Amino acid sequence: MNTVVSVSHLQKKFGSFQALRDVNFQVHAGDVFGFLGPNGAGKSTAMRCMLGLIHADAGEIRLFDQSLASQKVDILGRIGNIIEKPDFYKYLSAEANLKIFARMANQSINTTTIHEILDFVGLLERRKDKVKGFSHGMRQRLGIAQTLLADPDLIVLDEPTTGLDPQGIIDVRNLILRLKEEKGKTIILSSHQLQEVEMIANRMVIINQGHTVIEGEVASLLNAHDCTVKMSTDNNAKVQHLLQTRFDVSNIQQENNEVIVFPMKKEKIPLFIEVCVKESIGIFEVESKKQLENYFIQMIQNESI
Amino acid sequence: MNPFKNVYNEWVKIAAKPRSYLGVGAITVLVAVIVFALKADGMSFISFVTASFEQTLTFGGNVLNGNLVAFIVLQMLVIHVPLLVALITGDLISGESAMGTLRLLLTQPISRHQVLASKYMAGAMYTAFIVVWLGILAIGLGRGMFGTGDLMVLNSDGLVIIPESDITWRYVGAFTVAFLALNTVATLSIALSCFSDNSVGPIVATMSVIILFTIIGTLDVSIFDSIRPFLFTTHMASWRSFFEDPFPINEIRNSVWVLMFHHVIFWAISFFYFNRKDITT
Repeated sequence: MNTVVSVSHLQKKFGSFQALRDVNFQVHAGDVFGFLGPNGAGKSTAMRCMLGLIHADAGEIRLFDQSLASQKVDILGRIGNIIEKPDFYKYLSAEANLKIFARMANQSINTTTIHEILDFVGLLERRKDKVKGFSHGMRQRLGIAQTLLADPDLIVLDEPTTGLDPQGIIDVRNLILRLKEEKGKTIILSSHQLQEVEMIANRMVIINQGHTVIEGEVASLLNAHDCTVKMSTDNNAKVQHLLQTRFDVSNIQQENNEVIVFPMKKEKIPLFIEVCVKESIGIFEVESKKQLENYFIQMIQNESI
Repeated sequence: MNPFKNVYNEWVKIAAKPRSYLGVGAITVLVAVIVFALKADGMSFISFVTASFEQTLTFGGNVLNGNLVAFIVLQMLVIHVPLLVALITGDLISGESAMGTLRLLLTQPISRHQVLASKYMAGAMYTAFIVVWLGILAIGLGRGMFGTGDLMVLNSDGLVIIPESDITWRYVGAFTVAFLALNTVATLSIALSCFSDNSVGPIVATMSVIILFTIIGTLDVSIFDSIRPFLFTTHMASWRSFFEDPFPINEIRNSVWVLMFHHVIFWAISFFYFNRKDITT
C-alpha cells in the first residue's frame, strides 16, 4: 500500500506544556483519514507540524516518501490545506485571493482553471465579490477551492465544518465526498463532528493528551467493540431478565416504556434474537449501531483511567 | 517559483489596502499646504532667515525659487515620513498573522526566506514610491509655482549658495540617501513585525525606537557619545549633507555604511527568527 503520510514519535513542547508526547500514524493513498481527539489533545499542533507551521522537537514526518525536514517546499507543493478556518485577504475578491495563491504554486494555473475550481465549490457567480462580504460557509468553500488550486495529492482539512450552520455542514461534507469520489484525493479530516467522520472516513486515528490512542480502519475498529442495540418488544422485562441471566449483560437502559438499550457483541445479536423468539417474545423492532461517538468516548475514558 | 511573482503578490496586497494611500494622501496634502503657505507669505519666511546677513550681503534674483521650496518641503516632511512608511511595512507580517493568512501563506510551496524576502522587497518598493512621490511633488510643484534659481541653504556652518546648474544631482543623491534612511525604518518595522501577531504593535514599537534613539542622539550627555554615531536616527537627516559646500563625501559615506549596517542587522534578526517561528495563530 502506498503510504502518503508517515508520522512517527512526534513530540512538541510549548514552554512547560507538552503538547505532543508520542504521535504516530500513517495515511495511505486514497484514504479519507479521520483525525480525532478531544479539545487540547494535540490535533491542530500535529497537523501544523505536518505542514511545517510548527517545528517538532522530536520525531519524524515523512510525506510522499520524503522527509518534511529536508524537502518541505517540494512536499508543500503537493498538499492543499485548511487549518482551523480559511482566512483570506478580506479586501480582495474571491478570484483575486485565489490568483495570489495560484502565483505561489509550482505549476502555472490559469484563470480558466480558477473559474473551474470556483464552479466546483459553487462560488463562480460570486468570484468578483470581496471576501469580507462572504458568509462563514462561503469562506469555507473558498478555502476548499484554495486547497484544490494546484491539484494536490493530499488535502488536509482541520475542523472544516466548525461554526457552520446545518446546511453549511451538509455542503462542506458533500464537497469532501466529491473530492474523494470524483477527484480521488487523499484527505486528512480533523473534526469534532464524529458522525461526519464516521460517514466519510475509511481510516482514523484517535489522539489524546498528545499521544496516539488507536489507529486503524474505521469499520474494523468499530466492529471489534460492542454494538449499541435498541430493541422494542412486547415484554421488555423478560428481555432484560434474559440479557442478565443468559448473556451476562448488565448495562441495560430503558429509553422509554417500549425501548431498551444495551451493549452487545455483533456476532451475538442473531443468537439473542433466536432466544427471544423461542421464549415467545414479540419483537417489534431491533436496531444495532456501531457509533463512532460511543467508541470515541470509550477510548478516551479508557485513557483517563 | 519565480520570485518576482511573489513580490508582485505583495504589491497586489499593498495596493488593495486603503491604508496604503494614507501616506500618499498625507504627503500630497502636506506638500500642497506648505507650498500654498510659501506662495502666500514666503518672502517674510525668507526675510526671517536672511535678516542676520543683510548688513553684509545683498540678495538678488529669485531667492524664493522652486529649489528652495523643495528643500524646505523635504526638511519639514522627511522627519514625519517614517511614520507613514512604518504604517504599511510594520503590518506586512503581523497583519497577515492577525488576519490568519500567514498560515496559508507559509503552507504554500515557497520557503519562509522567500516569503520574508518578498516582503522586504515590497516594503522597499513602497518606501521608494513614497520618496519619489515626495520628490515629484516637492520639486515639480515647487519649480512649477516658484520657478528655478540658485539654492540658498542655511546650515550650522553658515549660508551655502549652490548654483542652479549644480542642484539636480544633489537632489538625486539626497533622495537616494533619504530613501536609504527611510528604508532602514521599513526594515526595522518588518523585523519587529515578525515578532508580533497584531498590526499595531510593530508600528508603535518602530516609532518608539525612533523616538528613543532620537532622544539619545540629541541629549548632550557624554555617556551616549560613543553610541551616538552608530544610531541610525543620527543619520536620518544625512540627505542634507548633499547641500553643503565643500561636499562632505566622507560624512555621507559613513552615514550610508551605518544605515546599510542596520539593514543587515535587521534582516539577519528577522530571517533567523522568522525561519524558526512556530505559527500558532
